Amino acid sequence: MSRLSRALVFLLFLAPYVFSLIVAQGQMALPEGFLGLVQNSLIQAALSALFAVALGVSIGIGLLGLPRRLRRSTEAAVLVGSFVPSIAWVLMWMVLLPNVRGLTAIVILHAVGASGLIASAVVRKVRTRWAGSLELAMVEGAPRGLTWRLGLLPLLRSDLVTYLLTIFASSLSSFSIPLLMGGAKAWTFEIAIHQAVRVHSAWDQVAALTLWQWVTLTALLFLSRSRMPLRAGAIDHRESRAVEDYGWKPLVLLGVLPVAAVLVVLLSSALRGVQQLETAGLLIDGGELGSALLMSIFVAHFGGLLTAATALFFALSRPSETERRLLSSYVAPSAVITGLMLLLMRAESVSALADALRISVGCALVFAPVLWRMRWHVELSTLERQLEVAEIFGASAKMIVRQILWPQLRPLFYWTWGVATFWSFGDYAIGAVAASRPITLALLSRTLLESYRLEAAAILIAFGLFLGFLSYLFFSNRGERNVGRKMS
Amino acid sequence: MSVVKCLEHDYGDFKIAIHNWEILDHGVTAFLGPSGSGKSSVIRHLLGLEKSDQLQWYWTEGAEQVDLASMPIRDRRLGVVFQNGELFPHMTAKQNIEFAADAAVVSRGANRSEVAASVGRLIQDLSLERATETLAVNLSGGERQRVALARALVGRPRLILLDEPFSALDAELRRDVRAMVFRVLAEHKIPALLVTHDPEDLVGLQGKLTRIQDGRIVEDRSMAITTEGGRG
Amino acid sequence: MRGKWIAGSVMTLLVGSVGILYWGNQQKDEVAKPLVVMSYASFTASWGPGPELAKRFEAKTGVPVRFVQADDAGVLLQRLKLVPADVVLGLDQSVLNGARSEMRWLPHVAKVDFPHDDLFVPIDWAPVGFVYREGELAPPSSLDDLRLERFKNQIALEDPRTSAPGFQFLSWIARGRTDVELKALIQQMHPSIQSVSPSWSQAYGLFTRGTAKLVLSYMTSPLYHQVIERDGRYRFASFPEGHAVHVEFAGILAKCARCDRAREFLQFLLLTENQKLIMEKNWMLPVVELPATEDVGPFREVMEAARYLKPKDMSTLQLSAAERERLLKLWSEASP
Repeated sequence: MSRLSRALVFLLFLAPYVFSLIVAQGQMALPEGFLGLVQNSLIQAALSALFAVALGVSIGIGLLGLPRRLRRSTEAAVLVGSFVPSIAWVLMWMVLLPNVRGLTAIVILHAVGASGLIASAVVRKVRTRWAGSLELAMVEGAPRGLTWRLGLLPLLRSDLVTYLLTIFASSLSSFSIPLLMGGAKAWTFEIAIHQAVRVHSAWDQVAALTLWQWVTLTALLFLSRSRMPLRAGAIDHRESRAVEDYGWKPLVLLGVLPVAAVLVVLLSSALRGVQQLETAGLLIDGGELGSALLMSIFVAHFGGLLTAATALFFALSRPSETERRLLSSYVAPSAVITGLMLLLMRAESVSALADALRISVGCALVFAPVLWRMRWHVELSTLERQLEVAEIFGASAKMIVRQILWPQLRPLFYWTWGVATFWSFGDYAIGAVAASRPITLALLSRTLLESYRLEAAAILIAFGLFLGFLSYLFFSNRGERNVGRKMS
Repeated sequence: MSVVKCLEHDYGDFKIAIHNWEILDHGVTAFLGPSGSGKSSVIRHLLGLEKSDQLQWYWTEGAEQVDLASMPIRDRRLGVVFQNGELFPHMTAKQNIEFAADAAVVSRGANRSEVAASVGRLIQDLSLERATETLAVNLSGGERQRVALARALVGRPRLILLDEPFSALDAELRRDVRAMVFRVLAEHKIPALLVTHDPEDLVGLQGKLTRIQDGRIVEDRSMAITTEGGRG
Repeated sequence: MRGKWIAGSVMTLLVGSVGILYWGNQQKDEVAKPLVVMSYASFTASWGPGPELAKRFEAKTGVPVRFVQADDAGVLLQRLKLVPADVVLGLDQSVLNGARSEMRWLPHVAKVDFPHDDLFVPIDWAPVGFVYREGELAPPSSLDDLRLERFKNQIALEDPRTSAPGFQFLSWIARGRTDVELKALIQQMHPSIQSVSPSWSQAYGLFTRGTAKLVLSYMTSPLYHQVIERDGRYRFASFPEGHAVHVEFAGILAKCARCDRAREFLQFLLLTENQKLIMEKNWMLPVVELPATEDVGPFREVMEAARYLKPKDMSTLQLSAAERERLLKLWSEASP
């Protein structure tokens, strides 16, 4: 049964690739300038990953220095940056630093866009696994810098490699930022895919390029020889004073300031945006806007739930190390391919529910592997020994799932649900292909953008971010609640 | 009686090759060897946590001979205490022990009231009364190992494997915990396979001594009560 | 257990939803089979011309129209293979060749005095050029002007590889120039380009936020600001040498379920009142002559100005796939 579940999950993720091959009628072809494309993509992805991790870890250290209540909401605020659409980041950049372009701009924008997610993961890891080590350092009077440099960062090494690969993967498939910041010469995987789709309808190139992206990442992942993560401390949800002591609050600004800047830019013409909403007739009876709001809430939460459930489903089926790594190395193909494949789900149905389901499933297909790679893979590895012990005692699979796996994976499940919900609020890439009308706030904002109404789009984007922020707070609080613990 | 007729596994740069190794079905079989000698690997193979190239392990109980190698892990009725205890961190000490008790009832058909009584007895025998409601993450090192032992014993395994259970403890604590462990093992009449690299752990033991080096057994003899120094 | 319960519930929800998908809409569709028209989002949006056109058509014929949104061209064509539709509306001239080769179309019977062929009917059009705000800079008066120092870092452009107007710009500057001349122009223009956006909406967004002072857009774009925002600063820089044009077409799919109604719909789109509606809500120009008595406000002036830019025939609108490749290659090579 477990093997079947795991096979089903793999099949589900393989489906978009199979679909792209079908659309390409089994043909694959590489575009001209392929080597240059690979070089550009790899360089910008590698640099983006390095900076994103450095920035994310720094912000994480900042967050750890905050008292609990403030940390949760600040963490959610910092996470906003990870879900701001590229156009908003680009706008902010053009306003603040119009003369800085090219690779520098691309790398920094990718980094600020991704660092929130890394910071959140670092905070959770250090708080729940390495608090004991920090307490030891505190007792011994070790200074902060030394503790981090020689103590914690080496302990986090395998996690950092994971984060590097995650951001590398997302930067590899980045589209708007490399083009807008890189100019006419910009030439990456995703630009090539868009060109193949738009200009040539060259689906054989699309198939080849998407497969190449995946192969690149898989090779890197297996080559990185991710050793078993260092034996982390047991999951410990106590609030340890040492953690706060070894954080450094000022670093939080690295995460908060960019988010504040982008929100200011988004909302600086809020009044004009409201007027545009009015002229578009969206404020007259509020029906369409209200419906988009409700649909966004449904799509985002359902997409988030599907994402978390997929990861959980896979985890509870006790995958082997190889199977875990395979899922970690998976990269969803371009949103175009995923969206088109989703149209196979009852293509002729154009009801809002059908559209909503397609978007939710699409989000799960894209987000689940990313979040799996970021945290689930490592968490499961560290639980392995406990599962062995339980099996030796004769515990049944049901007991292992109920009493060992689920209680310890629950916080991660809720975190995943929260992050994926946040992400899904902002999705328009999949929706633009898979939905038959703009049923969500994100899709509506995209349509407004295409109708001269940028400021109106900005308001909806900001509102979607706000809803995502609230949802994330709710889920992360839910996950942090008693796993059966006493406060220290 | 229990005999490992054959255990072979090739890791590439390291081979395990053990033949006709008897593990006592009463008392303690000490399994001694330096770091890297393959002791822990042998334990993992016996537990079924690693797939062996070849494993034949027979356990004789009365007239019945059981082929443990052919059994799935949970059916082998073994107990284990690892170096770090490997307690379930989200459970209290008592919940850890009760988990193993439930497992024994569910999968091995143990009698529920007997097992429940066993839980209480072990808590007492291992002086864990004050730690029962403490979360595993909050237990001291010594408490952790004692809880791990109670957890391993509650299901009345046919053999308990102790994989360097004392090495994470400081010297004084190690002595106390060790003494308690062996006393309890003797009282509950459960045979043990004790893996260690420290001859100090053999002080006060009666049973058998097996030495391993480079994946092979180099010494295999009975061991009388020893004084400090560990040779008998 | 809770985890498996949640996972199991999700699976049930999924299966149940798929069930709803399979049975729910099946019933609905049988009652009054609508005419399915696929078009881009801003056309089908509640503030676009789509809903009003649907209302008018249903009032006239009793046949409901269902608009389905599709993303841009390449995806739209693939989508058409998966989704049933009768009419596609909004194909620009650069994708017609691809549309012919990827899908089968039915000949239409519409009559219009604007370049078309037997398969595709134009429904709106607009010259392509540069939009600016009065008072911010003196506008360019020719393509060559774009190389001037005063336009340094001012132009928001669309990438010809990913955007229709972007490609139309490329074909525009290529007109009448040798490869060497074209490359030289691109290289000299480059310092003026502030950004290259994947799509029109992003380029225009950068322009409206003031980060660029010129944007590649349509002659009709200033009308949106004038009429809706009551902002008269927006202007179109007319070049005496001429402009590229962007024309949008509609076609009937061979797999149409309501083919007769589809033909009717295409003719319906060309009626004066509907062309006026499309113009006013889609911010493009009509392909038919609107009588002088028709009150079209500020659109009249633009219609007159654009008159001399109307394309002569379909051959001037379309480039072969090979020619497109060649131009895109030149663009890449010339861009620093």
